[in-house]
Amino acid sequence: MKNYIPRRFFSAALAVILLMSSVISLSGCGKKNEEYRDFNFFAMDTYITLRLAVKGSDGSVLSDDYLSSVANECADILSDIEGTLSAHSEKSDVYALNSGVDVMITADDTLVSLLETADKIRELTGGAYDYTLGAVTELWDPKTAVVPSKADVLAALEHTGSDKLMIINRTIRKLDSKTKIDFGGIGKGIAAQSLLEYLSTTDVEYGLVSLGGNIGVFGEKPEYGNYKIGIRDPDNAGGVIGYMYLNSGFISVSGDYERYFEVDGVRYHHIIDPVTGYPADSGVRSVAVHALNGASADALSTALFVLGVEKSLELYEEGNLKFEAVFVTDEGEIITTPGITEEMFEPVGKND
Amino acid sequence: MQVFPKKKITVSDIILLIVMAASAVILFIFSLSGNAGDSFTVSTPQGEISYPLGINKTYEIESRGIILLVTVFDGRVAVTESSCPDHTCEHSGEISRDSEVIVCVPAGVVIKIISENSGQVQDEDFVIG
Repeated sequence: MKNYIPRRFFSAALAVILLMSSVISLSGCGKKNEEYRDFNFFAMDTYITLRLAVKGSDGSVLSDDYLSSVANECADILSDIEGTLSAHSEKSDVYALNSGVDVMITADDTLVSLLETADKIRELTGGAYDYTLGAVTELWDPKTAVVPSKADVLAALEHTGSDKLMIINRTIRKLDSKTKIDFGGIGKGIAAQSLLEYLSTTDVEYGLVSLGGNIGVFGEKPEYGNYKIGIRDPDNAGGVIGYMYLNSGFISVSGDYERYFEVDGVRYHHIIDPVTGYPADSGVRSVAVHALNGASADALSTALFVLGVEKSLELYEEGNLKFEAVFVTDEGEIITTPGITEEMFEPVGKND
Repeated sequence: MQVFPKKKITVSDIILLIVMAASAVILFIFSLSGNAGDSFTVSTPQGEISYPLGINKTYEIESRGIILLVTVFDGRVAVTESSCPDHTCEHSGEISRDSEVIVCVPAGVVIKIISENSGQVQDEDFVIG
């Protein structure tokens, strides 16, 4: 009995020490800020993050001046892409195509390449991703927040389809005066890919780029090997539904939770079903797509959101497009494509 | 057969409970609220201003003719109202962890958590969505 009280006090002291040490260890963790140098700026109508490893390929520490010059070059690359693809910039080829009545332009390599890629994905997804949907998507602009009439939607749908464009070599001609190109579902993926192609030529050993719902990773991370990317919970902006682990390629996410407007309590999000002309209602809240090609990841995230889980899995089984995906359904269920292993995706409880 | 006699609650048991409960409460409060030194920055085309994360308050931010109401509550920050055209910043929810951001593209505003000693440390490389 004499030993009983000291043991209790020992237990109490131990408990306090454990609790205090957990606090200290949390507060004292090394931060990623020391591993990376972040560069943030606005471009392509979104917020860009370049997260570049400070340690160079030969083990030396890269200077701020060098990393800044790399970031500036990245900004120039994005500016060039925006100059070609933007539907809002009066100087862009896409703006010229969209605004003219009987337009024929000589496109640069970027636009020709993107049109070919976009058309291929449009075909392989059965039109679920459609870059010619501009006349419809502009009716659903969250900035105007007006629900268009059914007649207007049906009329706009008449001006969609790749048969409205004629592409011969580098000459693009619009055959329907009201057809409008919208690269919103693929442009940032292309841009992410262009940035990674450039970054692979620099002394930056590893890192990632983020362009509004699109992430590309490059290089080999020391120690950890894989990048750990949290996938946002559609119902809780501060939480994640799980983590994807990847060592290469791109992740793009499409969801109904950020770009939307509400009228009479009904939410109208920005991802339009090319068949109905209305916001897609496929039972999916969000889909995260991993692919080795930035354009594919971006366009497929839109296409899979439109298709829903069942048809997306059919597309996966066809095997013409290589991707893996994580869906969050209307019921909050998380569904993954068969190729997603436990090593690639770690789900967490909702609202974690 | 081994018989275990019933143990009585002693003074030391009560002290143990009190100490553990007090520690748990302190840890809970610590984890919920930002440290006194934690802050968040609001970057606009005009510059960057830092605000404390430990004071519950609503700030009015004006940029490019757009007014954002930025609310701090229990160490979390959210854009609770915005006159911007797309309201994406309002839909971005709350942020509380180091380096998390809320962005308003039309206003050119970035709100970012700066937490040197927060109990909530990110271990992921990025969050997408």
